[in-house]
Amino acid sequence: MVITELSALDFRNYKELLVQFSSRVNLIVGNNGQGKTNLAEAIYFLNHLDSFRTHRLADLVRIGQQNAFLQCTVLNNDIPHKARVEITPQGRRAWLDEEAIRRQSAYAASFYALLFNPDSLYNYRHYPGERRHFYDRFLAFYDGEYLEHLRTFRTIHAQKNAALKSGAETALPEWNYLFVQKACDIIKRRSEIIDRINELLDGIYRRLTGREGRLALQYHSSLSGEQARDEAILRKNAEREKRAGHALYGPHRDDYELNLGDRKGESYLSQGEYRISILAMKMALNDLMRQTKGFHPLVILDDLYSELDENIRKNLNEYLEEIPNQVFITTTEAPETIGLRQARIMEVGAGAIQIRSS
Amino acid sequence: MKIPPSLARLVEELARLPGVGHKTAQRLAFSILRDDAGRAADLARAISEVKEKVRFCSRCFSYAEAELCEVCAGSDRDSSVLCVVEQPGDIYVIERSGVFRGRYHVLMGAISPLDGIGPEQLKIAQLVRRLEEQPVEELILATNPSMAGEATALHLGRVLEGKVGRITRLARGMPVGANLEYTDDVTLSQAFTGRQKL
Repeated sequence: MVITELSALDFRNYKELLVQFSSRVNLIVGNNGQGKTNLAEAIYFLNHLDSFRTHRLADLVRIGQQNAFLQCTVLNNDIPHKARVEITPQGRRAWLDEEAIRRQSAYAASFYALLFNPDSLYNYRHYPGERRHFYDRFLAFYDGEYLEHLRTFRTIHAQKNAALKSGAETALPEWNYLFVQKACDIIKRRSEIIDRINELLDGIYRRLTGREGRLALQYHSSLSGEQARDEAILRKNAEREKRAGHALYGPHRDDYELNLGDRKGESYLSQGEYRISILAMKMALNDLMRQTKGFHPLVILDDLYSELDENIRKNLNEYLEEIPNQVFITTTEAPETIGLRQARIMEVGAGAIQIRSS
Repeated sequence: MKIPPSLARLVEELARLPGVGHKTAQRLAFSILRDDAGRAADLARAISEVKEKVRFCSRCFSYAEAELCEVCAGSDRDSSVLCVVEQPGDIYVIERSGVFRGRYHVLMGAISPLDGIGPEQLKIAQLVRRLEEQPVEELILATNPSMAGEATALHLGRVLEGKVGRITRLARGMPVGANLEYTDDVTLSQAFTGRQKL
């Protein structure tokens, strides 16, 4: 997919904006506080109908205003679509080709943006819930049935917890059976996707770093994904769960861990290593979407170059100029020093954008 | 100008009903007001009579005007098959289809800890006793395909294991007249799992 044109009205620090993008690499430059990340956020919002920086919609509206508008022309398989979002004090509304979107999942099925952003990176690194959310969102796009399984699981999970909390145990075996059944659906899908990512991950890591890293994602679950075995685990721990008053085993406690060689876990990597590992993981997702669905997500790389050494930058630029995706990079550095050869350079200053070269 | 108090009260009472908002309630109230006094009295009588006369069938807990409901009292029903439903209203839906000639048992809900409903709050003990007194060949579980309905069916399957010859659950799959193209993924995958030999 490609966004050819974006317009905004009263979004963050943009009073009025109309900008045309290159279908390949767009380099968004400018000093701090000028609106680079705001532009990245606008692009992301049009894709996912939420922001990666805030849960409060009011934050997205220009100070002193009530409503914000975003609109873009998207090419999906070379067919142009018009996406439009309105943010009001009552909430947000979206239209695709002038048809109102009633369910977010209907919209989410057609768009995907891979995002790299320092704050999201921090959250991903430090909070297991963020990691689960990240892979859940990817799976929801990748596998049409996943979201429905997850919703059903959440219903069962809430019922089971209510039963544990109130001590209403008569029907607990039934809730455990349903719990395990849905948990298995989810665990199998999560574990499969991690296997597929791993087939691609280390190759991309080596290509970007030039190093023999052995980068791998590891999926941890407190259950096995096999009905009989997991029912036995729950039976064995029934008393513990009753005492706790909530479910102690299940996909709601799953975690994902990045391993670089022998160093296992998010805390054993340096900041720079972690950044490039996460970039490699996102590029692996990109390859996966291309291979299995023929889909090219948008790639949004906010504040890309900080903490990356000269060698990695060079490899990364080559890689980004090679993949067929539309790429958006923001940086505070001078475009001449970056070394991208065919990027469209856009300079952001005080809520306005100037195209310096195409 | 404000609505007269007695009219306002009627609107408020009507608006309590499910599916009736304030606007609809007002339309209904104005319509009642426009009708002859006789019609309004008929409506009032129908409402108080339904509460006086209709009670639960002592055997199956469906709606009845006597000790037993029409189905339980009828001699033309197949007493070897029993169909378990969540609500009395579910019976009328099945009856309308005319496909089932056995008898019913209403649970008065489904197991849902979130709503404080466990097996003890449902008419399960009564079902077990009824099956001991009048054994059947087949028990059909027609609880809803929701998670609460699913848990209820599983629970019944467990507590009645070995007590009934055959326990079955309604099939799930493609709705009649539906188009494959517009069927959601989960329904479709259930239809595939439950496919039958041609």
